[in-house]
Order: sequence, then structure tokens, then C-alpha cells
Amino acid sequence: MKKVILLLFAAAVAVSSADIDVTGSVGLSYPTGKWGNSLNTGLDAGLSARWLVTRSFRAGAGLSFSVFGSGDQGAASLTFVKPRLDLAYYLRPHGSTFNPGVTGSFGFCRSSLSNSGGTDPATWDPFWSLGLRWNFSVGGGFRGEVGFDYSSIMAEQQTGDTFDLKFAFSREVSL
Amino acid sequence: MKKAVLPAVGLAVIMAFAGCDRNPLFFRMGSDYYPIDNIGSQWEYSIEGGGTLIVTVVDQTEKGERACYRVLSGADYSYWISNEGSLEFYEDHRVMFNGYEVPLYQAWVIWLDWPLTTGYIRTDSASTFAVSQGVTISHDWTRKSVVQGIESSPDGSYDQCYHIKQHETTINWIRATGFQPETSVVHRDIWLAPDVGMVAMSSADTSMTLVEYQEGN
Repeated sequence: MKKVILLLFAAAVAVSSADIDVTGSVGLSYPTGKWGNSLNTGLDAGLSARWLVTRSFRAGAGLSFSVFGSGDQGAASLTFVKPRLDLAYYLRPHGSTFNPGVTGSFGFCRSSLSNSGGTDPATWDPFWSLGLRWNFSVGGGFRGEVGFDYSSIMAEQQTGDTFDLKFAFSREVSL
Repeated sequence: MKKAVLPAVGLAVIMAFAGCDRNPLFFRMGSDYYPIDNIGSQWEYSIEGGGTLIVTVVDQTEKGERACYRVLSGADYSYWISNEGSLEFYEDHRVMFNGYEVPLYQAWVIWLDWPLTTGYIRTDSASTFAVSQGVTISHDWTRKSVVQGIESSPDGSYDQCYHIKQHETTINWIRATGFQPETSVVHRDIWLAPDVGMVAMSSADTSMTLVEYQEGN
């Protein structure tokens, strides 16, 4: 199964143009569910490179980091490291002010929890996310993007779900 | 083909992570390891050597100017506050002197911070004194709680328990001729199970195991 996915992805990229968009994003992450009861809103930052398979369809890979603090002035912190594959489809890729799109990601998340000198064993779990984007031009060859994701870390016994607000800047480059 | 190398390598790296360790971290984070905030909840413990101990969340009341839950444990009341980030316990330290009960230390003290983690350490202490019948009684108290790890309960009934080792030292000293400091040291091993609370406790004096838990309203 792994080989099939690998080959499909490589083939999709090989037939595309050499244009990629490099995107840096920041955001806020809101835990949904009881697992986040003792945590604050998280901060999220990420970097991704997506090949323009067509002007509308993009596929690539990225890495994001998130950190959540204690909600009660405590010392707890939870961190996520998410290497992932990204897919995106934009409806009006040349639109200068309104280019809506949908995004999806899947990958793995390393979750690590610390509190008051202690650290629980880190866990690597698969995750997925789906989101909507409003992409627009900000001039100078750069584009801005705002939107949200719903993300779910498929951990053992209970998922770790978040609602994420995303703010991003991207630039298309040719290789 | 060169273009395909980078994503292919990335995908391979991601796939490699699939073999890494997994554990139910989010389950533990979403569980209540001391569900003291349901009135009517009841824990029945079997005491090694014979006997049982019933612990019941009786009602909500006010203690030390704060709203709290009153818990009946055997014949004694204790008082707890359940916050999202911590669990607080009302420390009420008293000593008998010449037939009178002398209050030495009353305060809300955090018992544990949530979420628990392996290696978590919390130390609380107080140093105070009281004057009774013209005599000064000093009081020094320290409690250290350390999470040893994530284990099954000693009887194997509950998984994903946090095993806590607690060391509590109390030194009371009646500052009068003929009195020496009285030191008491208590070591406890406590197992807290997700959404159940304390399922086992052992110390030098006693050892008890949960036999039944009924969740309140």
C-alpha cells in the first residue's frame, strides 16, 4: 500500500509543471473536546511547498508546529510536530481579490505533553485536516490567505481534534 | 523525474513515522483523574486486613471563603475544589494540647496540577505557629508528590493509571520545657485511574483497593 501511494504521488508530480508555491502560515488552534480542558488556545506555525499540478490543483508537503500552554496559569505545555502531505483546490486561481479554495492534509503528528518537571511519552499518530481558504493577491508576487481547518489526530482510544484559524503568505516560484 | 524526488522522500519519511510509538495521550488528557465534582459519587474501598472505607461526595459548601465540594471519608470530612487546571485540598492541621484542639494551619493548597505527566513533581510546605495557653506551638509541614509513571492499578483492574508517590512530613514542637519536636513521616503510593479517581492507596499503616465506584449526578 505504501508503495502504491508513493508511486501515485510521484507520478502526479512528475507530469506537472515545475511551478511551486511556497507558503508560510501562522494561526490559532482551539482544542475541541475534553482533552483540551486544561489548555489554552494554541499557537501554530508552518511551512509548505506545493506543486502546481494545474493552476487550480496543488499538491505538496509541509511541516507545522503547534504549542498549547496551560489554561490555569500552570506549567503545562503540549506540542505538536506535524509532517504532512497537502492537497488544495482553488476555484479562481487568477483572482486577485477572491480565490476561494479547499485544502486537505494528512500526515503524522508527534504529540508531547510536559508539566511541572514531568513529560509523558510522546506519541506519533496519523492525522487529517480539512479546511476552507480565501486566497488573494497582496502585490509584489505574493499572495495572502486566510481560512480555517478542522483537524483530527487519530490517537489511541480518543482523537485530538482542533479548530484552527490560519493566516498565510505564499509566493509562486519556478524551478 | 527530479521533481518527484523531493515529495517522494518526504512521503517516505512520513510513512516511516507510522512505525513510531503510539500511546493514548489524548485519552489521558481528556480523562478526569479525580472526579470529585459530582455530588453523590461514591467509592468503596476494601482495606487490607479487613474492613471497608466509603468515600462520598456529600454536597457543595463554603470553606475558607471559597465554594468547594464536601467529601465524607469514613467519619471525616474533607474539602476539595476541582478546577480545570488543578485540584485543591483544604489543609486543616490541628494538634491536641492540654485537652484543647489547637488550629495550626488552615489553607487551600493545590493537591495536583492537571494534566499529570510522568515525572511531575509538586512540593508544598508551610511553616507556622500558634499560641495556646501561653505556650507557642510551632508547625512545619511539607508534602511532595511525584508521578512515578503510567501503570495498571495494582490489582490489574484499571489501565492508564498515574502512580503517584507522596511523602508528607509534619513536625510539631511545643516550645516548653520537657517537650521535644514530634515528627511524623508518611509515605503513600496512590494510583489514579481515568474517570474513576483513586483506585488504590498504600502506606506503612494501611493498604486499600477500590471495589466499587458509583458516579454521582
